[in-house]
Amino acid sequence: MSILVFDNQSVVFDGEKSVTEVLLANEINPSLVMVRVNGKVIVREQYELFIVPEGATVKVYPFVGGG
Amino acid sequence: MENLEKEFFSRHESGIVPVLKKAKVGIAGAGGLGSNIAVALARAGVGKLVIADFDKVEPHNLNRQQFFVDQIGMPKVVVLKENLQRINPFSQYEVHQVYLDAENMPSIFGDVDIMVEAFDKVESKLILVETWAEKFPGTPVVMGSGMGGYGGNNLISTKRLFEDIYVCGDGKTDVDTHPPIAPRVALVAAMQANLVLELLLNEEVVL
Repeated sequence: MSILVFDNQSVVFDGEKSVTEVLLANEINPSLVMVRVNGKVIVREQYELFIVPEGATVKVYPFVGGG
Repeated sequence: MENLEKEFFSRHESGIVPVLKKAKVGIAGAGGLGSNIAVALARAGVGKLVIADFDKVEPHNLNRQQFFVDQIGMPKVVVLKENLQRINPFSQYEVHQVYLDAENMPSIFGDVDIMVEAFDKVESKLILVETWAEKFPGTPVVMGSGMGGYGGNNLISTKRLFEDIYVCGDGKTDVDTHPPIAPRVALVAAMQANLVLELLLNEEVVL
């Protein structure tokens, strides 16, 4: 069991999935967020390849455009 | 000139002028956030600003960015440097007219004390924060997210995401749906600049 933390909500999920799979399963657009898995920032080139290990905490930080 | 510099900073709290003077701050982007942040930090007396942006001044920038009508068509970093030198000639301004990406950001900004993110696109904001978290974990990053539209003063805040990564803004108002106007953009820019001073001068940040 792993935990996804996004927008002040926690969602539990099972199984080893890539970062992209975890985000899409929760209707989160991967191109608009930064992701940390167990405290480590995952660069976006790794989203498809990095497999979230069992028991991990995935924290998602959304950003909006403008500057 | 030396007397003018002394008088320029005569209202600064004692002891902070030399600390700010030796600081080097990077600003990625010279648009609504970046140009306002640069002006604030120049007036505050940060000794060296490194600023990069690929863009040129367009008429629609002038509703919020620190440029003038006679600078339309000019590279933003070139005319921003001129404006900053007119405001505070005692600091140094290193500018780069370049489209920033994961390859060139570390070489341009690798040695700054604090990195300020002032991009327009989310994609660029994310490349910067991911690069700094990986390559420069001890360097504070001050980001902006959510400054579109008008009103909602008290929806804007500063948050520490984790470690040395901070973000100012409301986190919601994307400029695609909430077109940007001077006051709200300047509010977030001023919060970013104010946080830079706090990071440079204090051991702890009050949030």
